[in-house]
Amino acid sequence: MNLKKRTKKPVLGIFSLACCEGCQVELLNLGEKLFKIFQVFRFGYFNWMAEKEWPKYFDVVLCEGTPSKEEEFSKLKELRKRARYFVALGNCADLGGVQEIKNYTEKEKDEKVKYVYGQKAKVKVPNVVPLHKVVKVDYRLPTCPINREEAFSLLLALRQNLDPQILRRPVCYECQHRGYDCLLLQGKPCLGPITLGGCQAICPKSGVFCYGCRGPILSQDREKFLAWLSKKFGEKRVKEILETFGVEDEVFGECKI
Amino acid sequence: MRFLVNAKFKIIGKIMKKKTLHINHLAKIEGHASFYADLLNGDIRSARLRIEQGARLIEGLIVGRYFEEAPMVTSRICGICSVVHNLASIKALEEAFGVKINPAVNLLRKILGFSEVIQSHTAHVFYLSLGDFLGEKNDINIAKRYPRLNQKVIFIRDFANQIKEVIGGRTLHLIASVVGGFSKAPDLSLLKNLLEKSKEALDFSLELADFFIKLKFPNFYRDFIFVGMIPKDGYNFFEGQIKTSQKKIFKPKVFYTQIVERLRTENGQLLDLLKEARYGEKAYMVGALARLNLNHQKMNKLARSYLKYFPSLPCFNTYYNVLAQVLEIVHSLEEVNFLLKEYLNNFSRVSLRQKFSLRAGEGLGVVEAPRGTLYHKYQVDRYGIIRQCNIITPTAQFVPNIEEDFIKILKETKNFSEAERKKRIAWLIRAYDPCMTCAIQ
Repeated sequence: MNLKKRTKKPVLGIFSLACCEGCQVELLNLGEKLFKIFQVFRFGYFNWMAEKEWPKYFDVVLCEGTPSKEEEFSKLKELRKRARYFVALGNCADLGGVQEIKNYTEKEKDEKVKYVYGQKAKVKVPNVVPLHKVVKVDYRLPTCPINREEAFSLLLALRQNLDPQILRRPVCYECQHRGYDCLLLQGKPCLGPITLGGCQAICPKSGVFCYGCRGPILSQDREKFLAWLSKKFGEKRVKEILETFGVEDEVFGECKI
Repeated sequence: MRFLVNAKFKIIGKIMKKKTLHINHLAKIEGHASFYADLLNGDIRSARLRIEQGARLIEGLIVGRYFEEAPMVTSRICGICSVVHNLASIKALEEAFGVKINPAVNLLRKILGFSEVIQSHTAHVFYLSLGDFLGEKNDINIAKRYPRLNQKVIFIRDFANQIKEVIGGRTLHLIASVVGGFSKAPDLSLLKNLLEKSKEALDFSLELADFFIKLKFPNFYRDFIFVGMIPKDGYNFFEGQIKTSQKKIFKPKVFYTQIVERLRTENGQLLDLLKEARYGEKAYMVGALARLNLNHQKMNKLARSYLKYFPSLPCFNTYYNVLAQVLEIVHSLEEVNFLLKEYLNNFSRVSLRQKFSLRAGEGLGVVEAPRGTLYHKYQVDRYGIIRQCNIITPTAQFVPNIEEDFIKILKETKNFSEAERKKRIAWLIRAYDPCMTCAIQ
């Protein structure tokens, strides 16, 4: 199904599950460029811009957030069924997001639910899962929130029937390239060396160390770097930093990306 | 005999007309919510806004973690108002640790607060609410109908986003805004560029206002309580006392203790995961209309020139929250121009990061978010670990007020068609500008 050769414009749908909707806001922040996207794509669904029923079929679906209840798991699976290309939009969809802290830090079942809603509350919140653990994800737009230029490029590339892949370079490359002060050298636990680039080292730019939200980069030196970091800052602190954006299970577990 | 009994039941069935009005997953709002109303014989048995968001439990997730993460993680409560969570979180922690902040830092934070209001209100009035006034369901068509206005809206939002980028490091989920000040000083040449752009943004906002005053608002009146954090001087979103429409004034920490949060039930079952916030038992409104009602005299001159388009002052037609937001956009753009000048002339060489020591303590950070008053309460221990966290968002506070409005609207639209009634309800919900991801964090 060559999107470029289609006579009718391909259909784009933008959706959200449980999240802050910041990635959709970032798409809105594209401004003029977002309207250009909807000139080359047919408007399928975007809750921020239109009241509309789902079409039967999408060529591209962007989905942010994580499924937090039964209806959202069903919605996710239905979207995957109707989509030609399914894109995980943002860190939550990609790797679990800040909500995944719950998985890592609960010492007993429903600890956090009881804290928020009281001991007697009959509220159920399932374990947080990134989308790729539920459905097949074709493309990723990582970072929290997304880099909107990266999203724009990805959509145009799909429209041109190209296969947009993120360049396999660590955040360090982009940081040094721009001449930002190295935070590791300043004694901060920066995850730049083992994190996938493409964010233009936006956090080091503001003097804040990288929390790895774009996910780990596949590299043999990953274990060595983490061992060194743990020795310097303590295993607990390093684990905590990796938990913030749901990256911990990908870094210490099987890194498939 | 049986025939007569059956006929009797048929007649009774027709008299006892049961009806459900239902809007499933309302479009053009932030987050997910549905509307349900149960009517019997035209009487409203219940009318609820059910929030469909799942719980991410952010308040619980921060407990046990290092304080530095709180402004970062709580930003992720909401994508359209992340700045105010960051600022409220920082204010609370600075109170807990006893950090004294210099005026330069507060000046930049005020600018960030205004910028968030500008970009959020503009997105809401033009992309979320305007469709209701024009009878148009798709913003692409609105953009085709009013291309130049759309471009101006994009310009205004882009301007506000650039301020957040230059001062805070990013348009969403600020990076440089930290406990103690800023991790990096803003680039002065970029700030000067923004100052030059601010005049054009202000002019565009006046055109936006001229457009909105010509729209037809639904007729509605209901006596409701409105609350906001109002500064002693001027009109900003950063400081002040809590004022209510019942002419009471409270210190924020006192009012906070009088807010009661509770889960909601319908027919004995949990309705949704919202912890609604009431002033004791009373519902109240927060947001642009509440602030305008309490403090419109202190708005800047340009914004005040549009006050005459409200049916009354204070205004009790909650659809006019949209117009109140438009006035706040105009006011905020004027303030940003003034504050940028102030910073560049007087504070550009001041250090923006305050050193501080960790200590056990507690703090309450209150800011006016675009949608209303936001409370962040923390308790920290002497190692800087957060021990308690509670967050009360604007939407959690005004949902009970929306539901009281529903009852009146449904009564007044008894003879409307079902489609027309649902349209009025949807219009109202959108006019409040609810943020469902804030409501259920």
